[in-house]
Amino acid sequence: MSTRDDPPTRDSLLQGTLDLLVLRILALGAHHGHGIAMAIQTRSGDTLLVDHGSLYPALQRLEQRGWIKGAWGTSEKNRRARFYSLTATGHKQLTFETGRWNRLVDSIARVMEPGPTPENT
Amino acid sequence: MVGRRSQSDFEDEIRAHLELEAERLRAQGMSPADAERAARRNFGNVGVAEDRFYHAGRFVSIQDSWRDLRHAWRALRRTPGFLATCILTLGLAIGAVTGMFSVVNTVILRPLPFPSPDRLVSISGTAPGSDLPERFGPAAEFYLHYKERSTLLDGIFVFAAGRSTFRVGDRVERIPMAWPSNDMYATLGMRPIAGRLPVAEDEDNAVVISDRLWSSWFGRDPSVIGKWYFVSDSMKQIVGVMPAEFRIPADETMLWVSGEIRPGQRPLGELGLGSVARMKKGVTREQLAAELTRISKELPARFGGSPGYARIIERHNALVVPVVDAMVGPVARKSLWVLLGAVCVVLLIACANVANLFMVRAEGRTRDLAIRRAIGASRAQLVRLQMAEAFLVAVAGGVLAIVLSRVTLPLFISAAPEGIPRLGLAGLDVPTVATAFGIVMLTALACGAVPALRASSPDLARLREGGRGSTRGRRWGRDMLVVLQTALALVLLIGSALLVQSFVKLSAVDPGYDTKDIYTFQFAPQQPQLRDGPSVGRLHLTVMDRLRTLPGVSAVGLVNNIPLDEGTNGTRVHTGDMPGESAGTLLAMNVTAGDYFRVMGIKLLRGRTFTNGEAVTPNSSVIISRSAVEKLWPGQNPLGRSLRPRIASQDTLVFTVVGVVDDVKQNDWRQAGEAIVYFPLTGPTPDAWAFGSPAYVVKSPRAAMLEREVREVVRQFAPEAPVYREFTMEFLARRSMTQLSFTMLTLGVVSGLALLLGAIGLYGVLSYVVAARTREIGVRMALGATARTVRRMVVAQGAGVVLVGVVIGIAVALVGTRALDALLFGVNAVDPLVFAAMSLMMVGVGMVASYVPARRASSVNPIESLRTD
Repeated sequence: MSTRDDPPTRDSLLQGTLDLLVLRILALGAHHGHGIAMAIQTRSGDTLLVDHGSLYPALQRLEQRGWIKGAWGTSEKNRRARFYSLTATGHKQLTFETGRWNRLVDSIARVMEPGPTPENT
Repeated sequence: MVGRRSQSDFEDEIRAHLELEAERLRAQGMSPADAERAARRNFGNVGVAEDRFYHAGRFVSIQDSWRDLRHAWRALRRTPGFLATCILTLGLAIGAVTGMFSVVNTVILRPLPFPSPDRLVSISGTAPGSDLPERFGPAAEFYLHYKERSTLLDGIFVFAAGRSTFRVGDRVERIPMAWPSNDMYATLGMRPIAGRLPVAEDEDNAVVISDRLWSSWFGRDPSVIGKWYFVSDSMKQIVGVMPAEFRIPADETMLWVSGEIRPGQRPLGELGLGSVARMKKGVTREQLAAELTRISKELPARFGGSPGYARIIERHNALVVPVVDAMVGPVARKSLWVLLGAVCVVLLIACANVANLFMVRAEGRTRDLAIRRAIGASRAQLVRLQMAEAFLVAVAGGVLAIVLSRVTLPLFISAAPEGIPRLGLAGLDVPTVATAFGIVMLTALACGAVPALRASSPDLARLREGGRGSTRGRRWGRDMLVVLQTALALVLLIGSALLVQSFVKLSAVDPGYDTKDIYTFQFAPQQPQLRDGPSVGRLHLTVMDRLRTLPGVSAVGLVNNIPLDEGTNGTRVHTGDMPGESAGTLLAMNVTAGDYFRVMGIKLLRGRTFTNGEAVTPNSSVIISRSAVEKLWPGQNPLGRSLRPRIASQDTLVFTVVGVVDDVKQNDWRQAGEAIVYFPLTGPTPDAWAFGSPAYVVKSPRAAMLEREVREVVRQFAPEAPVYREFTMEFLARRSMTQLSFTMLTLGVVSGLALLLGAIGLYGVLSYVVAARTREIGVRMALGATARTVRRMVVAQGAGVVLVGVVIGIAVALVGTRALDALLFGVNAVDPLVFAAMSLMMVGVGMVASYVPARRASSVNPIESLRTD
């Protein structure tokens, strides 16, 4: 259960990646911090475990950039929590980041492909 | 952009998260305690998260950066020399500015303690082209007419002020008092704190006393109200006590005699009263001046008067100035502003110095800062650290400044010339401390910003060089600071040199009389047998005779207005040669007896002085001064000629000139000698005998020690008479120059400080340059450069910077020294000699400041320097 047993997962959550994941989750609807962490975990099939400690500074950063907006509200179990939702600029940023991510994954995939290096033309 | 969230809000959010997580774990079957522990573990380090929140995207903001301040304090403590220099420099400069601001604020800026003080104005007049002084107070009929006809006034009053006798039981003193018209209280809008205000029925038999008099003479005993005491010339009843802040017309005024002014009560054209008016709401001073000028033209039609009077009225223009300006006077006001300007310049220099020191410090840390940048410290973080350091230094300097100005302000105030209203009230009040704090913030910004921005520039290349590379670009900024310091210091130096020059010239002026070995005093006899002129004259002759027997006393005389003290009255004088309707010639007037001219060393040019007989028997002798001859009978022998003074248009005697004496500078050594007419003790009018208290002059080498013996002599002949205004002439001469000497000394100290700080600045820059170029100098010396060449190179570098500063300083001073015009005497505001001398001095100091680092450079050991690293 502990995240500590699984260092590769933690490594994969570099800063830019976490931001992207948060934006993506919030595109589905408003969530509090804990909910976001759970959603990432669930959607990744429990392979991506979010370091809760870095999640909140990330939320703070995103909020300061104006991509997400936080407001205190009440959770489904009647608990007070800060709910985050995506702003209009956040939506744009998500589109942009998603494009970049896809290009990155493509490039990495091409590098990782077996076979000789293609000639530069 | 959303407002920044508070730290506690963020902590709430984390707490909410931990609860949610614990709940989830409990739902999976964990015990509550385990669930909470696991939630915390899953979160990682809460403190770190909070820390990151703290740093995220924070901009340069000083507020509540407690952590930055702690960090900065630790960094500063590691360099105590740097810290002490900065704090001391800023403390001195901010202290000077705080103190001066407090004075300017109290004396000039703070409104008078009356309701709507901005509507209170002082009324005077000017009559260009007449022989009247440039500015004069109105006469009684002006006041009556203004009060009746002006549509823009909510009240006006006139007053006279002086010192007179106040007696309570055995205690007799001359105290400062005023004779205002009763409408003063309503015009100013003030009520007594005890008793009542005087009314018309009191005539001049009531007095209102000041809070100070009530405390010091009566111990605030309420029963004194209603009692009668001897005041000035008769018994008067105390009817009320004014509050402590009621200080009109001067700070020291202790008592106000009641009185009303009625038409016909005073002779026409007796100018020189003080007058204050309250303007209606919305009226400007210009409007009021225009209206008063216009209605003053109606005066001759209403009151009559001589053709001379009509001519003066024709030229008359009313002057309306704020009461504070009139009370402070133009010279004192200008001096205070000049001094405030000067200390602000010193603050600028100090800021330049501290900024310089900070820059040098930042250079020394280049490597450290570059490493921090490289491992991810944000630019903002580094700027913040620098700003926090500057802020700490400035705050410490500010605290030191407040302590310093607390200590030095009383010294400053006691050294200041007399008669600056409210000066005694200057102290560390809320506006002053607030200003000091504002200055501290600006200083922190000024001192911290440049080095901070520089330190944060992403100059990673410097890391590779180990922080020692070309110094060219960075030196430019510091050179500019030194240029600025040199220029400013030079401006102050030139200013104070001009004042010193003026002081020397003014001290060397021949006023027409001696100031050495002369003692002067007054006493005010009030004896029933002193009923007529001859009896008063006889008393004075007796006292003079007795004083002459004191050991060491060679001559004794008396005069009603001694030079350099309370001013002189004027009188218009007619000669037989003038047309009948002529207004006459305005001359200063004095009354004298005994050996006055001999004691004072005033030269007798023709004829004789008064005899003792002329002091006690009516006679028609008169003595006039050299320029009075020029005015009345130019180029002719005045002896035996006759003249007739016009004292307040009363009929006066015809006098015959029996002697001519040299001119004296009666009131101001800056002015030409005055044309004076001296009357014998019998006075200019048949009933003028009654003036009560002339100033005695006693010639003795023991002038400074005569006080006790003189008091004893007076006690023998007039035990009831207060003895006062006991001075030596030397003191009076010194006092007449305090305005200049005080400004000179203060500006001297301030410019000395500026020079010192400027020199330190230059020294600092060159030391740094030498240190940064050690390797280069080592190479040069290894290649054969001599110590001499190296020294010359460094000194030349310093001299170059100083020269640029001197050129700029001269340019600024050419314009700036005009602010001193009112104080200067016998020297031009752009005196080339002073400019040249001070510039040379500045260059000289610059050379000395450069020489020390130059020596250090020339002692560089080539081998050692090349091995550095």
